[in-house]
Amino acid sequence: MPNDPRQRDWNLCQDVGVPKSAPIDPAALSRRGLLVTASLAAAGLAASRSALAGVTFAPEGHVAATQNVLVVVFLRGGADGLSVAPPYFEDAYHRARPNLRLGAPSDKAFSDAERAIRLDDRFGLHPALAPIGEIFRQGKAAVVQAVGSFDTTRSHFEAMSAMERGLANDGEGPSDGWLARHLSSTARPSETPLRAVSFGTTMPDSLRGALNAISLSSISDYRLRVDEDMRARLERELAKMYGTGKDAASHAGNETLKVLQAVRGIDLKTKPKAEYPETGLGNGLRETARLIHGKVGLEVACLDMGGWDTHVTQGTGIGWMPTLLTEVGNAVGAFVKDLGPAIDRTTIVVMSEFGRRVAENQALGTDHGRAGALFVLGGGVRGGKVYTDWPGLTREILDGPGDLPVTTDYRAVLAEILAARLGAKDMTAVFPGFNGKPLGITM
Amino acid sequence: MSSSPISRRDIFRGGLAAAAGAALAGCAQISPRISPAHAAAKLPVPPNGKVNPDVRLLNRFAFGPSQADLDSVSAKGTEGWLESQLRAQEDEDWGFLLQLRRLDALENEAYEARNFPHEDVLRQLQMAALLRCTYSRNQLFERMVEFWSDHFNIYGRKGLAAYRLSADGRDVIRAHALGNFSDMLMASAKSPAMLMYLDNHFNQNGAPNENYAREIMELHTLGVDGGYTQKDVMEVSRCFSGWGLETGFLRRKGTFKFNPERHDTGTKRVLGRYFPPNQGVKDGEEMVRMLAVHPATARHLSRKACMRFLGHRSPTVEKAMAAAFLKSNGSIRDWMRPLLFSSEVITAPAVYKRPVDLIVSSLRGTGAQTDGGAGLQERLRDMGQPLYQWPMPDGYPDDNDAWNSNILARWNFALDLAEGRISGTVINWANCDAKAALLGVDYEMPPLAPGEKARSPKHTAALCLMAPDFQWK
Repeated sequence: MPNDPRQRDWNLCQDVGVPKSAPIDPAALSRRGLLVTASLAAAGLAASRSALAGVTFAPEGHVAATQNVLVVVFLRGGADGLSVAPPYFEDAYHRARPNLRLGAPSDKAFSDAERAIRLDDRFGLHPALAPIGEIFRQGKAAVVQAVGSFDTTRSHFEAMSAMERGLANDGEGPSDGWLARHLSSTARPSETPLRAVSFGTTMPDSLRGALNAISLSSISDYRLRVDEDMRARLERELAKMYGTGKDAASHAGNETLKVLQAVRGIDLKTKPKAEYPETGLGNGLRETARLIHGKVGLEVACLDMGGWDTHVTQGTGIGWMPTLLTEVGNAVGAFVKDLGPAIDRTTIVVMSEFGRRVAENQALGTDHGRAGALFVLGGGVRGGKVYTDWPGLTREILDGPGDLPVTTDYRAVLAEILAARLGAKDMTAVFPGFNGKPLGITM
Repeated sequence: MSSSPISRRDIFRGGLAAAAGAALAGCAQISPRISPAHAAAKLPVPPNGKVNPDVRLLNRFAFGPSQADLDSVSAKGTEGWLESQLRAQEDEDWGFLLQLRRLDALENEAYEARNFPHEDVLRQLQMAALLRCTYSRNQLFERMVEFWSDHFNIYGRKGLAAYRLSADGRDVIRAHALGNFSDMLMASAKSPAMLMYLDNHFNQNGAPNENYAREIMELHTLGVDGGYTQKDVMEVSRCFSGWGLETGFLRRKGTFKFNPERHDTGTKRVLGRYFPPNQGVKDGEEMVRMLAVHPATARHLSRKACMRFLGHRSPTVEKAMAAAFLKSNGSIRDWMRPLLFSSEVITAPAVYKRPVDLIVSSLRGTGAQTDGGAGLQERLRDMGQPLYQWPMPDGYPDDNDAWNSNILARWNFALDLAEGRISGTVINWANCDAKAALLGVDYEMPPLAPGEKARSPKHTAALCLMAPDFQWK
């Protein structure tokens, strides 16, 4: 939507201290240039080693990328960005949310559970996200506020579809997912079977069309339920049955056989170095850490968490929101701790399809809105900072029925991470029509 | 196995390749949203060369062929079978009815069922659904129930929804599955389960809640491109203000109740139509009737049905369906006819079986006995389709790509079924030909390696159910 004034606003956004050079070019960022150069030497080494092992390695340039992992946590239902990272300095925020506001970090009238953790002079963090606040303080987590897509339907499905397809809004454009396109644009002659995983039982749209992505819920359960003496025979038979077909099922079957083999090599005995919540997100991140530690070639992991459509009883210290955020904070906190030094090659994005209306509704909840907040954590993140072109909350600024306008395109964040961390080169393939600038959120 | 499907298939094979080619070519222009460039990126479906028309018919409009169904289609012919299925008056097997009668949660009203633990209610609801898909002789009716259950999806784990779902299933979905859409939509709007799931019972004067107002237009009727605006969403929520549940002392708590004191009595305007002041509950009722038979609704529902039953958009069929829908004021039977009797049923591309499809077609194909209980439900969950547990109001996805990343759970289901490891489900091997699961499709078994023992019937059956072809319908 080139005529959308919001997008023009966004194009003017320059308070984040990055070069004004237009489309993202990985080589243009000097630190990254160094990284690529260094990786060429490493690639030479790796290639000679791999020749001994009889494994085909990627062309240079991709090798550095294989060291890094992107973990995308999608909060389904529209997470309220004003609860996640409240703009406590805005009087309008406190007025619009008489029951659902968090207190300013210094406001002792609020209990600990209802008082924001200070991020900077303007923005706080929901106290239920304390573990992420800690990572922020260490400079390894960043918050992006007033971020989103240009979808104006306020429909979960349209907004999610836009984001997962990597588009401005859910209109004309490719139907496969942005991560699928990234994976295919950086595909190597010999793929590892576990290049991309989604946790759960269905594939998210962001990985739709990816040729080597699988869904799994637990690594230890990822096996054929037959006796060991029958297993080899059955796998051979399946390879025969699935070997010739060109259809999607045959393809998935072949991938699955490769993954079965790869998974057998993963160490499941070592206990995680942190305690994860016993929830879908906690379990998924625990298994992701296993794959990262196992060095099986994982590049992309997708996790979903539902429940964010808080039309009623959203709450501040008690209610849906703190419950959900506690789970996110504890799961992500455990993940970072468990990864140890491996966090340096892991980047985590926590995002949602939209934020929610600025004013609370009468059911102590909030309705669908526009811009929200997202987190980026982990290796290579220029953290400890809130990235935003804050539009303010005055009535004339708000969008439609009273929603925070989008001033940062979500694709600016994702594109920069792909370029800086995952060796993506052709951003037009991944995000067609996008020509924004990096926020400088990665090093 | 009766011989007629085989011979019909062989006759059909010759003419099919050309027809399939034509259908695929037509497919390129299907959706305005899908450009040719990315249509190519979609994972391919298998070639249509091996379609057996009777098997295809039963895979799409029944839950896969059983031997009895194949015999029935042979005896009645395709049209005759479809007509009898549209009437949905086949006598049910008494053993099956007895199994259903044992499910107490089905009998209770929403306000009574709280005596049961939540998990029991969900388990019984799933049992009923699986038993009906597997054993009902009114298979098309059950397919429509499945379609509308996705269309009016309710998440059984939101609050007390599980307790209200049996009444919703009975009074909304099953009461109107082959009836009138307008009546079904009205029943849904007043269903306690839906009122609570999409927060419409919170809707009151001065404090509108947009959740149901948005979804009734986006998902249940007009479709997201159906021409409504955010302003319409807000006006619709005002129309529904005061809709809620009985909470009074000694009343049947949890039944529909309109509360005039919570209603916004002002004028409203929805999609250009004026709603005069002080209409009370009629605001919402008139709006439901207006949305139900709106031309955009006819288009949206027809598009959805083609995606579900044909596996692709068909401008011809959609147009005919939409016209029949509007002409009959929402008669679901009239609306479905152009699809049911379309030649595209046979020429349309293959559709990847959703987990319920895979499980039920395996059971029907092998003639297995099942109680539909926890053992089966656990496998269904592993494959990603635990019934009544899709949180979002759009229902379990239809498209192939959403499901095919999780094939291991399907393989393990086949192994467990063949080995008798699913509690409450058993194959009677005396009655089951090792290749019975094939039912009319020639799967190629891999040749034995030198020195390999011959396959047991269980082993062969498991391989059939694990075969790539069996994942498609």
